[in-house]
Amino acid sequence: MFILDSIMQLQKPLVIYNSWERIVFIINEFFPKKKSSDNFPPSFEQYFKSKNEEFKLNAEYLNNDFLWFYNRINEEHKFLGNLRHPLIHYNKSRETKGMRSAKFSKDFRSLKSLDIIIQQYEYEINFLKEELTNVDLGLMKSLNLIESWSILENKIP
Amino acid sequence: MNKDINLNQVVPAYFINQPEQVILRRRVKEITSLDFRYFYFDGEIKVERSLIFNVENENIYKINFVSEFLELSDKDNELVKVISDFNIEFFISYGDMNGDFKNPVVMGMDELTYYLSKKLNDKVVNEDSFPKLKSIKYQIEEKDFLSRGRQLRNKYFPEYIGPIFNILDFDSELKEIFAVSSSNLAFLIRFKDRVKGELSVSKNENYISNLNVYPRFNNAIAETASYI
Repeated sequence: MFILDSIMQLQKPLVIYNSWERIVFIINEFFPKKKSSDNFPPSFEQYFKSKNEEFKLNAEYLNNDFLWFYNRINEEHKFLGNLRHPLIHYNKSRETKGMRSAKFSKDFRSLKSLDIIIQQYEYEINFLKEELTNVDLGLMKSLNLIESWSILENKIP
Repeated sequence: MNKDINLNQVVPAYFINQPEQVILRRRVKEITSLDFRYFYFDGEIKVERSLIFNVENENIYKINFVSEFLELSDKDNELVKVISDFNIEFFISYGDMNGDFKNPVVMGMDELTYYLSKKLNDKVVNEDSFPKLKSIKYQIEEKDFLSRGRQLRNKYFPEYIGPIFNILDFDSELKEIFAVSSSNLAFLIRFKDRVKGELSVSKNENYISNLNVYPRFNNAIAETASYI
């Protein structure tokens, strides 16, 4: 039992963010961002921004399922990205942004209010819980999107 | 049959089987660096079993096993070493006392800590309010993600030959990702109140070093980060 569990734990970092990238990968397989042989899987943001641009004159493509994904870009996905970005992108500034726990230790004595920190922590946990539900929802919405776009493109045999 | 006699017979048998044999090999390595393939317990055997704690209807026992001789042989069955008064300690669980009988789980200390952590995480994950991967579960009235996805692929993209919606690849992968996320989130939920409490207490202390022992708040931040 321990072998499989340990292998699973290796996937621990960055799992939620990757789930969204996988959902984009699915949609991109059928409706590629670039219609060329080099169909490199785009990021969540790249894909939906590009499709929004591509379909801006075809409003029927920008349906509720599309908007559900698109509106995430500046909401949930932005928050998720802000948590993830400093962890994996090294920065030149003097701030210890990447290792949030190190930054917390450094700033701990000068903290004015613990309540704000506790609230942020509570928010993060609830946010991640919500995101797990959203990933489940996103899987089905990705199929809705593929189906609605297929119908619009007269792909019915 | 006397309980102790039963244990004397059963415990050596645990080590014959994999993966429990790893625990024995690890213990032998602490005593000798000699390589061996086969092993035999000889002489008198003593086994002591003590209950160390009960977690969620599951008893965890510590077993102390002593064999008068442990004979180690190489791949040609030639004796390479005899260890006298060989002793080994390990932990064992027989599963939920009120549930179905399961094969005993034999563990060293490292596995025990993980086993308990996973068990407590699973308790949180199994609560009704915890997010579930509903789209993968097969439902008759509403199609699950994979069967609906394959249906769409066959209907609208019959020429497609890529890996998407391959049940063997995708089903297990999604479940795995979701399981890892769930387990980590459960950890955070379990420690939420504790780290909040410690945070409040730490503010009154003069030394920052007390922030660095698990499950202090800053460790929980790192745990959150690894989960994203």
